[in-house]
Amino acid sequence: MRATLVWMRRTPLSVAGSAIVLLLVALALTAPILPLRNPGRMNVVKRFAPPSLEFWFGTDHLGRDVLSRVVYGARFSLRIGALTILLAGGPGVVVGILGAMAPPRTAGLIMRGLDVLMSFPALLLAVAVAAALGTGGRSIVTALAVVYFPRIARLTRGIALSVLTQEYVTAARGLGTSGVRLLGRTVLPNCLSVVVVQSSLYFAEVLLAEAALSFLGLGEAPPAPTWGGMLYEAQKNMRNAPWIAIFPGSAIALAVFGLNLFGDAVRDAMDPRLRT
Amino acid sequence: MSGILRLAGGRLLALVPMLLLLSMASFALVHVIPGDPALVMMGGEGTTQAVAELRHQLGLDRPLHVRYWEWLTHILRGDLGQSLYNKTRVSEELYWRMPTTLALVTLSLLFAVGLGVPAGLLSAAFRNSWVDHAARLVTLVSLSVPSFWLGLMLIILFSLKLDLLPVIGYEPITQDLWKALRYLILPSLALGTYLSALLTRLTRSSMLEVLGQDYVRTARAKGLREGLVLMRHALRNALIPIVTVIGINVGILLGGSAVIETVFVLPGVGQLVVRSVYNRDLPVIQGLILYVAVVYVLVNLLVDVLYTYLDPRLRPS
Repeated sequence: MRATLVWMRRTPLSVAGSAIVLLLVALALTAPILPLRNPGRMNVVKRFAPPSLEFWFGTDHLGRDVLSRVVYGARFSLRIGALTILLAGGPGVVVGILGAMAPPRTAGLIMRGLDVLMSFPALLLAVAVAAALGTGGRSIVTALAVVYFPRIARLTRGIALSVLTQEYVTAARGLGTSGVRLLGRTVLPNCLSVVVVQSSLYFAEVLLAEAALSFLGLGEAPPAPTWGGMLYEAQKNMRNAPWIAIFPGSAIALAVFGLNLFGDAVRDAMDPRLRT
Repeated sequence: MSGILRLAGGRLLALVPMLLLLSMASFALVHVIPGDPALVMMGGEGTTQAVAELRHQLGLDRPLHVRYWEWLTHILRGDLGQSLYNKTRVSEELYWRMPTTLALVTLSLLFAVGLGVPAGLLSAAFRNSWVDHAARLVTLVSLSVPSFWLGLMLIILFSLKLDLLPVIGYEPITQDLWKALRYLILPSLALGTYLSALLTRLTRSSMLEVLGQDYVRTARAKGLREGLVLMRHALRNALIPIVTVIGINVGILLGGSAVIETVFVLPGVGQLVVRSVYNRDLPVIQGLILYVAVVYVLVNLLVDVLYTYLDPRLRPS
């Protein structure tokens, strides 16, 4: 762990990635106490105000402050991302380990089931599930969890299988260690560390997918400031007020960029072969 | 060649249970998910009687297995269901919408491969040079930008500010190819950028791995020009994993086309999916998602067979 941190500090891109992620989390957490305007307050006189000293990111078609809506949007997006990863990760890890340790027939059945879920293009499956569940943050989280659960399960199974072939596992088995103990002591910890790292990359993908779903009108109902929802509303006024579209999209790109850098860096740092 | 045909036949047969499972999953989407689809479709606005009528229309008052069997036999006869919204048949809509989506996805794929593979090749050939650093930075940024937002930005820049390309609209490819292409350029760029970045990244790492192999050293040692080493010895081998990744990621293009077609108002399959979502037209969504999944599975089968063709080591002896 220490070596990982030391190594990460040496690569500038991973420092940048961590800084972006930390900044976004900090903004999301402190949004209510920051000197921002109310993201929902309309001001008809100041509609379509271009970016200025008064409104850094300009105002939208209802005169709402785009800057504060973007900052509050971070709260929505990060919360939905985190909930999705938790909801997909828990069952994903359990099913993945079952897929590796269960009797071959059961394991085969489980894996075929996952194959089926993964045969649907990710975004379409999410759209369809969210549509079947009705609009709102909850159905987006559920839909994205359905999409990412098989991916996490497959990843976990792969790691669990490779852990199970290690010599120390054979040794432990030879000493009569029970399956449960083996699971808790070796398989689970090894799987979790990789899954957690990979999750920061999935988190980035979830943010992109969440934005797309909100853009399609499947997210939180309109007054709520979500990045994708803001882009949906911005579409109609692109000719005269492009800033309404530019800033929320940049926020998504920045968040995804930071998470990707961060995830790549941690993954490389944990792979001793790459540490040269 | 006959070996490959036999392989393809075998794989096609093995696909039957998979397709059956896919149909069950698509069916489950509407009928097993908790909650009453009739209520969801009404958006909580219908009277009790209206909801009951819709339930009957959807067949929700009959046992699950009966409904599934009925749906499946209809599909096998080529009937993917009927819209609750405007009563059109899904298969008919697919017939006239498919060419648009096909053109969009194909152009995006061409763009992604045409840009991504050479960029990755250059990046690997000039490792750690400014070309490599620039390519990697562009890749990282491209992987972070939402495709639909990129689409909006392209519209602002090329259509609204520079006035070079039409904003939105569509012309069937069969009518006027050049005009159709002008409408498809921006959507294809927006849709293909993500895949192009993935391919750059993959080509780079795949090339770097191949360049470390003994046979590349041998080729260099016998005095071959570097260009020849790269193209004939390295790239051919590096391409093998790239073909697989293209196959897997056709899903990204198929899924992304839904959003891109909405942004650019293209009358494709993706636009129909989104419209059906707005209208809570569950039978259409169900038919479409099964259709797209089957296309996706078949594309991957094709890629698998192609893969065997590219890599003689994998051919059945």
